[in-house]
Amino acid sequence: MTFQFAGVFLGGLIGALTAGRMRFEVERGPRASARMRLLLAFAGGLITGVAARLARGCTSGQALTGGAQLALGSWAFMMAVFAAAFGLAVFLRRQWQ
Amino acid sequence: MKAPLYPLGIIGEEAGFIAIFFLGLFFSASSPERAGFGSSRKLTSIFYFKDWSVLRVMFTAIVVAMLGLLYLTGIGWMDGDAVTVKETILGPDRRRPPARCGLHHRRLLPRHLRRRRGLRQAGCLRLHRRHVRRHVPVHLPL
Repeated sequence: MTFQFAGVFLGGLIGALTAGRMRFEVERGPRASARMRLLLAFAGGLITGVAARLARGCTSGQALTGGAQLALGSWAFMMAVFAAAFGLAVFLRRQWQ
Repeated sequence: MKAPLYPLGIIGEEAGFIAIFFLGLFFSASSPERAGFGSSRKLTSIFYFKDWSVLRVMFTAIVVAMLGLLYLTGIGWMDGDAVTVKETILGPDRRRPPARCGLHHRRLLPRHLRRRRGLRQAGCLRLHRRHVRRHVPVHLPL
């Protein structure tokens, strides 16, 4: 996994550099504060980490890989993820829109 | 050479590490960066019904991988049985409740799973066999 992360980091860096998109910024909606965005991102990362261990996979491991294999559990995971995200997004609209 | 390379023992651990490094490199250079998925605003805009590219990319990836699995297995370049498929677990795994976790407390479990004992005793009792939900592994019909 560590080797993959190293590759992911380098690949993203190379992609951003060659496309001339390399800059520091906190991605957020026009009315959101950078501090709040970073806090929410950190909390989201924590929850996602715990949940991915519980569900035995994340969007890549379950939804994409399992989805391509037509694994029933993975499709259930995908539906649950999208349903929960659409539901929660209503409350976080200010952060993005 | 036949896929999957690592589970079939065709490549060792070292070659696997090198391969996964390059897989990660090409993945992040193409998908997140070039396709614009490095932007969390673009990623979240699907949930405000504005930009559906996340869904399109996800399902295109699924269909491409699905066709790849199908055809590679079909022409014999891939061993479908050696590919790990995630088992189906649609609820909490109740097979081995951790001892003394207090999960058998009357309010935390549905009626048919409760034991008529106090919390202290019940916590380390195993559930009755007929209440045990088993995993049903789902295999690819390839």
